[in-house]
Amino acid sequence: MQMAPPSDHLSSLSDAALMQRVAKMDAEAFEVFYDRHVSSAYALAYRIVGSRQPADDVCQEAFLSVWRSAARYDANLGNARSWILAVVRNRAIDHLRRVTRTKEREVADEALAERHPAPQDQNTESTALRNAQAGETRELMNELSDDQRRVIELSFYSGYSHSEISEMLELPLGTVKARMNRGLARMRNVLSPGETA
Amino acid sequence: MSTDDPRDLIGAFVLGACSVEEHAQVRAHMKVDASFRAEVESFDVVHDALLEVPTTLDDVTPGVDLKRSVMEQVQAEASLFAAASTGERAAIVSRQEVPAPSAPRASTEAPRGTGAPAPSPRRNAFMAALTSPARATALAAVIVALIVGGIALGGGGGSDVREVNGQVTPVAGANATVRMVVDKDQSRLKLSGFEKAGTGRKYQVWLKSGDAAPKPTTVLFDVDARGNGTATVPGDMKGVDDVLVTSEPESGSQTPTTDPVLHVQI
Repeated sequence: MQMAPPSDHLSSLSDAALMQRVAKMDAEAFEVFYDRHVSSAYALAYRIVGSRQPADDVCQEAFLSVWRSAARYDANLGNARSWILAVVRNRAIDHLRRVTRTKEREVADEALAERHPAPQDQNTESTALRNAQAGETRELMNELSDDQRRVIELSFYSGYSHSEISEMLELPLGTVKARMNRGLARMRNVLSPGETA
Repeated sequence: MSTDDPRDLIGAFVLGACSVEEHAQVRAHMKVDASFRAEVESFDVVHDALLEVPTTLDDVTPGVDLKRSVMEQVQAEASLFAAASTGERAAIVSRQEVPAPSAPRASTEAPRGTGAPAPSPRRNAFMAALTSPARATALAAVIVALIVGGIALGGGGGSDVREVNGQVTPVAGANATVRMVVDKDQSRLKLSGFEKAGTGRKYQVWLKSGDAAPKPTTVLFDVDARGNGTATVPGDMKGVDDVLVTSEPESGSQTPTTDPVLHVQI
């Protein structure tokens, strides 16, 4: 299928304005939205599922889901970028659960670490320069202790519940909850100085 | 329901790491305690930051076919929409008739499984009014896709948790009953009045699709002394027609060795 590039006019619209058009099934507006966010969506999907084909599948499902549900989008409740990324995350975690958890969560911690290398081990200095938000997130994660980062990554990027993490790491559930709370509070304090924990 | 202080659960809630019960506990507390809600929502910025991962890692770029396949589907549905009459288009676009979504924020993202729209009388009337079978088929496909999209969308609102009553066989117990709570991420069998599985045996859950042989799960459980038991079946029930439970050796089986004690039609 030959696809003509979307008009400049559409490309200058905000996400909220694009979503209003997408809600009326404007395919061109959707294409602009897609082009604007697919790289981030794909990076997130890949971060979670760890390989190309599932990441493609996750992104396809997520973008089509947004296309078909755009009329339900309310800009007052959150921005569209967060919305598509949250949908991608959900689909990616669903994929992980389907693929890797049919044996009652037997995925070894080591295997997880292999599948999801910790951000601090990645050479992303140039990435941080090119992608301010992602770089900021990386820096945020580096604000955390190893223990805090571990429980946050296992939950957010691998989809494990706190009780599963408790079992996996052989830690009391209260410890896992506390690490999550403290880690997120620390990140929030960096992002929004002045907020109270 | 957990009796934990809901504040202890905020981190797990934001990260999507709560149990279903805990998630409900936090949501309920948010409704009655404005300061608690504000505290939870103050973590939205963290949730959004976690969604941002580097986009230029080596070789991590979208496949060349991804955009083509997405846009082909989008343009096909847009074309069908364009072919509909004004009234028909209005009916399709009026997807707001489904329960309004809650905020697409961290707090609504986990556990997922929210957003099941009830059938819309208006939409049904619209469908009935169509006179062209071909067009009805095409538009129905679009509408079904839209509704499915609404159901499946992780950030949607409402709830697609549903409860199904199952059937039990006499061997289960004279007063045995079973219900299944079906959710997007996991489902839960709730048994009462069942006989125990037997010495050295467990109940095992099987999933059946169409005429295929039941597929084993690793879900093994037993009921307590009062005959009550709960079994959580992970994963989506999409494609599953029936859930069966049999008594098996305590390590489980690859094929059923006894007749089912219960059957839940999804």
